[in-house]
This record gives sequence, structure tokens and C-alpha cells, in this order.
Amino acid sequence: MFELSEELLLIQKTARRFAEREIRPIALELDQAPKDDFCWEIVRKGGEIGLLSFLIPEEYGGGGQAMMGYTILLEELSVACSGVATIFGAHGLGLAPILLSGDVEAWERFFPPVVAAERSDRPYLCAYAITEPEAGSDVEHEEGARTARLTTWARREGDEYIINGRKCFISNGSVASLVTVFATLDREAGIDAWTCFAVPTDAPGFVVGRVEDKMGQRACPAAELIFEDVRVPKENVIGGEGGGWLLNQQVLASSRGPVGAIAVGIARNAYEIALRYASERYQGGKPIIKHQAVKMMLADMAIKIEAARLLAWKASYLADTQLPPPRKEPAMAKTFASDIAVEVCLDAIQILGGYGYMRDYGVEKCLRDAKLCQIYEGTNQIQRLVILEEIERELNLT
Amino acid sequence: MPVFKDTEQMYEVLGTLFERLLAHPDVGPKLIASGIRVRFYLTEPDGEIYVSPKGVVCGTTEEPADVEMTMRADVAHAFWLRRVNLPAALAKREITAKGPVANVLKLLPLLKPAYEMYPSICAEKGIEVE
Repeated sequence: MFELSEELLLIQKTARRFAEREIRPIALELDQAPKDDFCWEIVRKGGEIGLLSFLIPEEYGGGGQAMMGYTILLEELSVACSGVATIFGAHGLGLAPILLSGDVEAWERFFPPVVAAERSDRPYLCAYAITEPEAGSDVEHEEGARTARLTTWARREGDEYIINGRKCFISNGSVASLVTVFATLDREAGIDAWTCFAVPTDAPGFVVGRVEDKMGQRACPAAELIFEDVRVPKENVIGGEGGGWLLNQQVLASSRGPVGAIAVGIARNAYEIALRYASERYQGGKPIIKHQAVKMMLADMAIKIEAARLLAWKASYLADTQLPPPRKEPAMAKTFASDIAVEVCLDAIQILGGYGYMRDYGVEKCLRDAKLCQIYEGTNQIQRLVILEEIERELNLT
Repeated sequence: MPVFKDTEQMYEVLGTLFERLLAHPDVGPKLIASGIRVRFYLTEPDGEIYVSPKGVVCGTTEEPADVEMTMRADVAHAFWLRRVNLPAALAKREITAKGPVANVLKLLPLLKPAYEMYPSICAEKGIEVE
């Protein structure tokens, strides 16, 4: 149970090598670049080793991997730069509704372009668009969702749907070729009208609005998306009319293990920098790692990372072996991993002292990056509500 | 009222479907090569169908399964008629699965001939399809 298969070990080894050779050397540069910059080069290099088709079934030329493989992959990428990891994570999230819909005709339409462009000059990236200016946590949790009103709406006209509205904070939004967008068919009807659409970003009326100037994970752009009478054929409905809420639930239950792994990767990077620094930095005539106060901090960091990784692995294992995927364990993994990532990064900065506060060592980047993991894919407060809901359900307290 | 009048009729229809899928010239070899063994637990009427590269067993068997799927027989019938919204059925737990379900998802493209065969199998076995 605690050993990875040969296949997963190979994914880990390949991802680690890619992260160290290709991502780490440019991580600080990407972090400090202007918000509108996007490094297509790293996406192309990821495409060369199959990172864009990683989750696509082998039948369509993809890697045929599941969430456990994605979890291993994203931790390794995130150790070098979680912003880059999130580019690939958000891409997988954009594909996830299509994959989880089980709709083979949708697979046949939307997977081949990703595979075909994977090794091209302009890879085909995807994004997942549900958050709106007035609907953030409300779209992550049933209680909120029941009263939430998605303002992005779609109406059918003949064999097409016409989408209008606005999404915000969409990872990869400004660089994606395809966005899976959640819109309502009836703005007064609540979650039963939520519907997922695959929207090509070259469709007339699709506009990229503001690209956000983020605190962390800056290599991955977060953008506002505007839909002005965007027309898509009826075949672009993913998961059926009115199936959006249930599809969203399954996507998030599947993706929270991998998001936990991104947080684990950030924490691991901060810990490894602190460990190395503590072995080299002398105070009081010996390396500071020989001082008990520092030993305690490093040991606690190692414990937290190990525990968070095991939770992320368990969440993804369950997502890969149960349908529907469970909600409790992924919420636990995402919450715990992102909370400890912030703690570990703070401790790493403390161990490095003044150097930790400076940009050159990359630990302050880790802290800025880690903070986002407590917010995206459902805030940790929402995760805790989900966890308790599931516990109450298990105990028949509802 | 359930689609299948009894377990025997359910085995006759669904068992035939799986047998023909395994014998299909294009899909059969791929399904067999996948090596996957699936046990369906069906209710209303109750029964079990086991599908493996070795063939189809209708009824209880001790053979090991990689994936176990549970659903009402009516849901299975609707699935093969392409009338089931899979994410919704999963979310409502009308269909549950245990085992390496990612491998099952990968097999979905291979099931296309089954969707085409199913209505005619129903007609052969006296099940009216609206």
C-alpha cells in the first residue's frame, strides 16, 4: 500500500527530472515577470513529455493516467514552481468535465486537438471556468449553491446555445484554446439549471478581460473571461443539460487530491531549502541544524509534509477506485496540505532568517504560492463544511 | 414497473449483449486484451453478471473481479439505450463502482457497438423499447 507501482515511480522520476532541468532554472524569473507574460516554452517542453495529454485515454493517443499519476506528477512540478504546476493542473481540470462525463462522442471531439497540438509550437491548453464575481464559495458547496445565482447564462436557439456572462480568476483563462464553462439555463432556477459547455476560445464573442496581478503562482495567469453572445453547437454541452452542478461536484472531488499535491510540493521545496541552509549556515561554531530549536522545526516540517502527501495519495487513490469519487478525503487532503504548506513555508523563512525574507532564496515565493492553495478549488473553510457534512452523513446525523 | 419481468429475462438480454460484445470482430479482441474482469450487481430484479476475457457468467460466481458495479436493472437498461447521464447517475449513486474505475472509463470507447446492438437484442428478447 505504501509503495508506488513501477509506472508511478517512472512518472515521479520523469517529472522530477523535468522539474529540476527545465522548471527550476526559470522559476524565479517567471515569478517576477509582468502579469501578462506567459511562458509558452515551458508548456511546449511539458508537451514533449506528454504532460498535456496525460489524462486523456490511450485510445485517443493520450497517457491514459488517472488522478494518482496526476498527483505524483503535480507534486514534482510544484517542488520547482507551483505556478508552472498549476498551468498543467488547470489544463487537466479543464479536461476533467469532458473525461468524467463519460461521453465518448465528446471525447472524440475534444481530445484529439489536445493530442495533435501537444508537440507543436502552440500547444492546446484548457481551462475550467465556474467562478464569477458574485459566485465564489457558493459554487463549491451545496448549501451556497442552492441559493447562488450564476449570472453566466445560456439559452438555446435551434441547434446552438448562446452564452453570455462573465467569469473571474480563471487559471489559464487568457492562454487556453478551450474552456469548460458552467452557465445556467435559467437564472432563477438554481443548481438544477447549471450546465457545462465546452467553449473554444476562438469563438466570436469570447473575450479575455483583466489578467490579474497575483500574489503567488504567477507563472499561471488568472483571467477574467467575458462571453458576449458566444455561440456553441448543442454537441458542446458536457454532461447533459442541467447536469452541471453534479459534474462540478465530481470534478472537484477528483481534483482536490492533485491540488493537495501542489501544496505538498511547495512545502517540500521550502523544507528542502531550509534543510540545506541549516546544514551550511554556521552560528555558535556549528551548523544551525545542530541547534535543537532548528532540529525541532525541521522535524515538524518533515512530519507535516509526509502526512499531507499520504492524505493526497489516499484522496487520489479513492478517486481512482470509487465512482462516484468520495468528497471527504479529497477535502481533507486539500485543506491539510495547503494549511501545512503555509506553516512549513513560514518556518522555512524563519530558519533562513533575513535571507528567507529576500527574493533570491525562493522561500518567500513558496509562502506566496502556498497561500493560493488555501483559496482556490474551494476555500479551506468550505472544505471543512464538506468534511463535516460527510461525517454527519456517515453517522446518519443529517 | 421494472423493464425486466424477472432475473431470467434480465440475464437473457444483458448476458447476450456482453457475449456479443466479446465476440464482436473489432471490439472483442480489445476487450479481451484489456484483461479486465467486471462484476455487475443488479437489483430489481436481483442478479449478478460477471464479464471477463473468459466469457460471461450470469449468476453468482466466485471468480475474482477487478471492478464491481452496482445499479438497478432499469438503470443498466437505460444506460445501454444511452439514456443515462453518467455524471448525474454517479452523483445520485444510481450507479456505483469500486475498483480501478479509471480503467473502466478507458473502455467506454469500446462500448459503442453495444449501444448499437442493444435495441435489437431487446427486440429479439421481447422487450419493448420506446
